[in-house]
Amino acid sequence: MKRNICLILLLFCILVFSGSAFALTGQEVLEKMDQTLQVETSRIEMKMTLVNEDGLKRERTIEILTKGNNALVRFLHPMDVEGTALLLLEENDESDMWLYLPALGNVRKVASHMQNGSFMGSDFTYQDFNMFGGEKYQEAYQQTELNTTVYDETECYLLETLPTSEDRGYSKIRIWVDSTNFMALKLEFYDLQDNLLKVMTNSDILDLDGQLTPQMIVMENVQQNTRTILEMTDIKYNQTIPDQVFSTRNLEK
Amino acid sequence: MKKVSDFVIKYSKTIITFVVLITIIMGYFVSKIEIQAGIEDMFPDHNPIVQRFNRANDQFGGMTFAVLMMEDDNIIDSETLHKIANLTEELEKISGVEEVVSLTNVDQIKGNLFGIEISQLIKTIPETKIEEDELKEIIMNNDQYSGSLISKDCKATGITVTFGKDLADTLQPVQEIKKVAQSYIGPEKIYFTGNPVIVNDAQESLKGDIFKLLPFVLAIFILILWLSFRRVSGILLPLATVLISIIWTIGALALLNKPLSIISVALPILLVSVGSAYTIHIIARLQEELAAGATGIIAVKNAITHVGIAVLIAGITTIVGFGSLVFSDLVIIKEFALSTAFGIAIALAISIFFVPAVYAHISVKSREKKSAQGNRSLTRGFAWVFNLVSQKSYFVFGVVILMVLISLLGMPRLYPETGYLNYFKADSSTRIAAAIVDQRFGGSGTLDIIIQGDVKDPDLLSRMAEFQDAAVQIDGLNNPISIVTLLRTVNQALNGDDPSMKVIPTTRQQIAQYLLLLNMSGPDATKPYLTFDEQTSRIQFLMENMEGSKIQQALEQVDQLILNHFSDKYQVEVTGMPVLTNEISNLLIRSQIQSIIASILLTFVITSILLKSIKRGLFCCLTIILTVVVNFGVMSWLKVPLDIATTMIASIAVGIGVDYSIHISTRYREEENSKHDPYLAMQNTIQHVGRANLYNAFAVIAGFCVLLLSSFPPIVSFGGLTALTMVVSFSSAIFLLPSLILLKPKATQNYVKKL
Repeated sequence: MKRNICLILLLFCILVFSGSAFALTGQEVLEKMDQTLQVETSRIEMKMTLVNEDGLKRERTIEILTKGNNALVRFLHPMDVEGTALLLLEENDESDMWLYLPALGNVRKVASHMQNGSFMGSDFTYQDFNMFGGEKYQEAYQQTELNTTVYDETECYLLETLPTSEDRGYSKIRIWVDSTNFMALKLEFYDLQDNLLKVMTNSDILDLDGQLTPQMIVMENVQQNTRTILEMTDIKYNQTIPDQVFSTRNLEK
Repeated sequence: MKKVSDFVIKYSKTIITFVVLITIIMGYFVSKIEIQAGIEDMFPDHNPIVQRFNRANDQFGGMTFAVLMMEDDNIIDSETLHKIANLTEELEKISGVEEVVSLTNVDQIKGNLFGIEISQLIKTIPETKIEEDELKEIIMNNDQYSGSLISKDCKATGITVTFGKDLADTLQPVQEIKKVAQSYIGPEKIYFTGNPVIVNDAQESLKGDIFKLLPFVLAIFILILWLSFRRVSGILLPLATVLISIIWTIGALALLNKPLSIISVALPILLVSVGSAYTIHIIARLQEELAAGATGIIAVKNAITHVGIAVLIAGITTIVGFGSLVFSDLVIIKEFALSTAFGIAIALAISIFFVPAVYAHISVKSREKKSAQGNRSLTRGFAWVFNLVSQKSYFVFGVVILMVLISLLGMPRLYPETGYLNYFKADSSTRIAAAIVDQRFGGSGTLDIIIQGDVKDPDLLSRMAEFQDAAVQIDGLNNPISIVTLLRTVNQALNGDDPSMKVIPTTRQQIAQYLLLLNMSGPDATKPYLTFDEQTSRIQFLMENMEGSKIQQALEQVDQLILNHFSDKYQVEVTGMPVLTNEISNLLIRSQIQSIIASILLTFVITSILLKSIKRGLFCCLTIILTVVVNFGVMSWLKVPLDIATTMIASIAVGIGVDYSIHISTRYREEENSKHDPYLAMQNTIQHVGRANLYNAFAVIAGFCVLLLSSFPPIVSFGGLTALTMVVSFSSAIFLLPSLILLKPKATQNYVKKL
């Protein structure tokens, strides 16, 4: 009898819980996700490890500064590329990319279509990386389906989203979102032929200055069997970063 | 042998039923045999040169590719470019094709007002004349493409099709590419070449001609048998032996799920020539017994008892001869050897069991007598032979020594030909395509130089640049491409596209940052030239199709340059398809020559044991050594190169050629035991066995001569040389061997006295 009561209680809990889940629409989940990610500025130092199909590794340390829609990526290590920097500016929906090579001593503009390509030869595209900056999920994707599920022992929303613009290079993205804190835990990217292309997982999520942040992000290209691992070593949010940091003149300094 | 003959007579019906049943069953499986187009078995995994090639292919890819060349009055016009774009797209869809690079999808590194750009050379295909001219201006002035992707006169363009890493997987896609390309011909011409294409064409020609000519070989064979025996059974039984052994062997292969390899395609022709001999000797002996007055069953029994042992020795030596190829490094040769040995064993068994069993059931009386007695001119001919070997053996030895001397004199001229391309006639489409692509673009194969070392080290990079610029002066090497080429282009692009800045960066930082820049456009930008860990790089040269000797010469020059530029500090390896095929062919030739030596030794051991005399064993071996020497001598004087097919002939010569000698030896021993006079014994031997040998040799020689009609040069030389070795081994068995056996000074004197 006692067992039965437990079972009924459990069922009740599940019903109540899932009821509350369905109370949110997919678009609302995307909105809430954006809220968890919103920061004024960020300064993140991370180790980026590229692993190729044979398991060979390439390690780099980079620092990423963001403010609004602008971002500055600077190489800290290895020594021979130290100081190499990439500036991504977005103005009036137009994005520009500038590159500074210390060996050359001046700033070069990078062709716009390269922005759809791989970020620093990693498994991330520049657009994937934008998620670290100011880009909003709800602007970039529209949700088509919403379910609840369990991922890694965590109650999750499972969103199936379609990119709002065609040049993303994905047909759809499935996102597992922690239903308690709206942190995306896993993303599956599907290529234009609708085959699974990449899987991104966020782990070691910490609360930093009230901002949930994964300490480790892994992007795995399942078609080419390559991986990129990002390990955060230093994160600072909402510090003052002057606007002129995001200028080509600053790059050359 | 007596027990065998009793068994055959007793169970003749069972034997016939059994053979017929198995043949029907195996015949069913023959229809299921597949011909394997793959060449993977040609590549033994443990060979260092093959390992080097595979390693480079794993690291960098793109080692196995073919080139489609499109020729037109003007490549850069809207219509042709659309065609190229469509063709490129269609080729990309073919399974087994990894990458297709053409004018319409190639990337370029370009400097512009702002900085650098890596993008498609042709973003949109021009539609108007003005746009066409603009594009033409851009492309023809860009030395990244002009001369390598598009010819300098703008009349030809290359489409490079790279295959996956598995070498075996190229032939299926090659055939599909051919089909696809066919539909794009006109008004543009399309040429298709590259190593996989040449290998494919070689296999196609080989298969085509062998199957086309086999019926003619059989027809000639039947004709000769008719002329020899003038009896239906004299034709049907040898033919049945051959066909049954072919059916069983191919059926067994199909049962074991083993496809016929490209070399094994020669198996039926081999079995025709070898397999028939055993039956011919049995029938000849049977006729002889009948002529001597034996009747029906008794004649059959006698035939088995007397000639059975010779047939058995002949069969075993041939099986051992082919069996020795089992030790070859190459699986393809191993399988060929095993299946041939199996086929011969079947033919042997059929001759000893099935043929006499059939004879036990058919009437073999008067007509056999008649035919055995017939042909007086043959009798006179053999009498002449006997006189020659018994009285003028010095003449025989003189001729033999002269032949050996002439052959040995030619030996230094022998040369290996390892390129598949040289198998084709000069006016064949395969060679024309290769020559045109060579002329327009500098080659359809690559020579790959793999260099170990930190490429960010300016010292290594400048050595690579110097090496690359020096090596391009070597005959046959063109259009090098490497990380050096890429970095020069980036440097130029970053410096306002100034041609004078097309130089390599000079500091470690510069190199590292340029590489980083290249990798930003995706990890694939540097992949063909630099490994992920940036510790191994590749310089890839286009290499023209050349004769084996010229390839050798170019490789030696490359080695010298490597010695000059790298040897003190860096580890450098040379690989590429030409190196690989060179090595594979050398390997084949080496393994063939080893197996010739091994099989001569084995034949010596077996014949010595079975003839119970080391001297007789040695004599038998001398006849085949003579055959092999003359074979190579003729090849050297007629400028027939050593290649896979021609070296195999020597093995065949050993296996088959020794049979003639074995028959002479065993019969002589039999005659010697009953007659006690060596000369009388030899006279009988030559008269009787000589005849069977002649029929056999004649049938085989005529059969192989049919192959001279082939349009594919390797088949022509294979047929011609095999026929020649049969002439030599037959002649040496009938002239040299008796002369050697009778070479007893005392006996000669006695005989002369008697006369």
